[in-house]
Amino acid sequence: MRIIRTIKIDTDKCTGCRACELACAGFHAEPKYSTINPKRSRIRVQRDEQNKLFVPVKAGPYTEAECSGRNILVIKGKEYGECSFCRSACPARDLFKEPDSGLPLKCDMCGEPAPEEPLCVKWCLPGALTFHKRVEENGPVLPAEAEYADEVEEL
Amino acid sequence: MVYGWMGSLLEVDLSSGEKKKRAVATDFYETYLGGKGMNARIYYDRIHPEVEPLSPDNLLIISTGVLTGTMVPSANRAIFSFKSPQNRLHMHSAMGGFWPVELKQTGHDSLIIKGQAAKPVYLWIHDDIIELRDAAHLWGKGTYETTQMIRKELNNDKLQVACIGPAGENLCYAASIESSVGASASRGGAGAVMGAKFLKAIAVYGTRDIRLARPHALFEKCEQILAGSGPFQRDMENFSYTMAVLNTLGTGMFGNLNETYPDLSPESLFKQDLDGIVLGFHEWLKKAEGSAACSNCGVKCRTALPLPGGGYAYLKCHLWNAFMVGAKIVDYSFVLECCRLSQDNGLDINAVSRCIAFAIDLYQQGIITKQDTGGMDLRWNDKEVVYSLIHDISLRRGFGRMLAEGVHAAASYICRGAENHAHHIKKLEYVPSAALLYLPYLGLTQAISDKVDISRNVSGPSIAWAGLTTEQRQALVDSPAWIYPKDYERYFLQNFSLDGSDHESGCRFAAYDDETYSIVDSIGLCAYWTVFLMNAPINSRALMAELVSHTTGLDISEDDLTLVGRRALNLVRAINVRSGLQRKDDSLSKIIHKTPPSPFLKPLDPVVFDKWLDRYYELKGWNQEGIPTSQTLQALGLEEVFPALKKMEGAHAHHTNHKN
Repeated sequence: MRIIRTIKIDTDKCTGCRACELACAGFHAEPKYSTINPKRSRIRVQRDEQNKLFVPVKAGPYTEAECSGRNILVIKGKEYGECSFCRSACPARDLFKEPDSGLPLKCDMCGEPAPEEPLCVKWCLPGALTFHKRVEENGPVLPAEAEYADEVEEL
Repeated sequence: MVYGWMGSLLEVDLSSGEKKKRAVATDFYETYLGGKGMNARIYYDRIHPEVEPLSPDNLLIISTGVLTGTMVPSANRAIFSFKSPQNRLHMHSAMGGFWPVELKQTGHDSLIIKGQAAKPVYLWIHDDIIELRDAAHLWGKGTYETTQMIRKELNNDKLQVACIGPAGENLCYAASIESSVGASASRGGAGAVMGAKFLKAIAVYGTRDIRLARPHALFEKCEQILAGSGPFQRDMENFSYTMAVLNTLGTGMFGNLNETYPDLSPESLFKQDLDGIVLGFHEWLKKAEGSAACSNCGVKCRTALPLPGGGYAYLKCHLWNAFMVGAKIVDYSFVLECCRLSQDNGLDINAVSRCIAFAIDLYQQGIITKQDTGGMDLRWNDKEVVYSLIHDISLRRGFGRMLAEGVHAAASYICRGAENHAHHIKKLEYVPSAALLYLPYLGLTQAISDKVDISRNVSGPSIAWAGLTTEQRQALVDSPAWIYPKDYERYFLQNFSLDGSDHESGCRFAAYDDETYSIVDSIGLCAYWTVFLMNAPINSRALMAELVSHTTGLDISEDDLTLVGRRALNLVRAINVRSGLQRKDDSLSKIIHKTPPSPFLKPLDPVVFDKWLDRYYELKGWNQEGIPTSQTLQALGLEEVFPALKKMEGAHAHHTNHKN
């Protein structure tokens, strides 16, 4: 059994204010909170005001190669490439990469020691981001009772 | 190293194509903090009184505030300052959304645009990449399409665009600079200034860090603000609803919609229309699908409403009623279409709706005929009339040419008594609700406002509110919402009247509030978060001073902050006095002193109004001509400004009999 920490994203509640980006960027700055730069954030909001589509996307694992995802999604009459909602730092785009070094960024659920809730959740006034713990019975055998941040297989 | 600010200013000369990045001296930052104050200083030094607003010599000065882009909630503003083509005075227009934060992240606190391009261009700033790019293919396009085309062209869907639409290109005085849907710099013809420079858009994308001096203290403070925003959030949850009801329908005081437009003939809206509006309003609120926020703000002030033809319109404040009352059409889908058209054409909704109401009114009164309108029959309750006027105004086409420079200019072309129907403050169409202007306090705050915008006196309604009992007032004084100094308590506790006899209290609050808004506009916050009675957590100068100190590492006290606000306000006043502003310009339309549109209101007695103005000037440290005295300027370190003002005092000496 393992406990997985994750953030649930309710796009209907999101107002696209990007406070999560600022909070994340501040939290992960070195020293902590010393700078604000959403381009370093591990969560980015895909915004389309004309169609009122606000989708926070949280950085996932890094991929070395571009994938073959060429699907086109049509949402409320507007076309989006699959990349718009993809979590990976990938050679095809500069999202989820450090702007200076180009190194990939990944959400670590605000690291260890685990805070009560990740900072982006705390700063989300509309309540679009909520923090959840989920117990999974199956899956790879891992030390019991440990909590894992989001992507278990990375550990 | 400076904290909070980025440390440099970018100046782009469109005539020569030269781009200069300059470091800004720390003491300049400390003296003005950014936004309105910094712009006013640059304006004072560089835009001389004889500069023609639409000439290459006018500057478009854009400054973010010291808090813009930091963690402080609602810190997302940039101020656009320029000489207004409409009244040839200083105008500062505040833009929210995401563009200001993105500009700051390119490493520039301020952007100064001067000169005039030979052909349409747009400016692209990506950190240190600064390019003037051809905009021939964008010229004539709406603001929505322009934004999309630039994002596609530069292959970056996260860049932010501030652009003008056809209205700005055609130098229409109601033209705005539009950014993400609903965020704009609207008042005073900002779009026309940009259009005259052949500058279609400013696209920005920045990757620079904003450095904070005392980050832990700032984060802690911000978290306190967020925790304290509970009541604020609740109040704002149905913000558009509350505001619209308050502004459109209101309570007994606003029993008749025509008060919003006192110039319109009173018989045309009937009780059933009013019921229709209330009913329609509830129906439309059900259609609302959440809201869209500006950067780092959880307030839901912009309600998203689906448009019949796809897409969304975003409405807040007075935008609900501007066109509906202006054209006497009780239909919300009509309102949405008008808002979409205005935003796409790059028009200030408040100004253009009033121009249209003015035109229909003149036609109905027989002052203008089909000969003037080019055969158009201007009727109330006709959607097509409004749609075609919006297009005609933004294209300066046909009859639209006459309206393109606002109601004051239109009335002076038309003559025939049209000027009695043209209601404006300093030649700018005022923001509804006009009914409020009949109250001395609100009349005063609008008449003296350097922005002619009700969002800069939003504390007003509560101060002027006669309905609160002394107990209710006491409860407010004891609550955390109380933002005024201790000695203001007694002014607030007195019962207010609507006849102007409360002028000592009213003038004090007016003089305090406009300084607060000057601070807010200088440090980069949104005015709504600082409004008294909204239970807004960032509403006191003491707290704002703490936020600025933690961000910059400088120890800025509440008194320092007060000086910053006062300095910005006096500098703007000095600029305007130097450009010929006189006491008689701090006034309201004649109708406010004559015909009340409702039995609940009385005409505002001009003697009472003058008494208020006298006291207000006195509290400001201005003489009875409204000119800052040398002592006032000296206390603010602005003594070098005085000789230019002294000269104006002499020039207007023969106008001293202002009371008539």
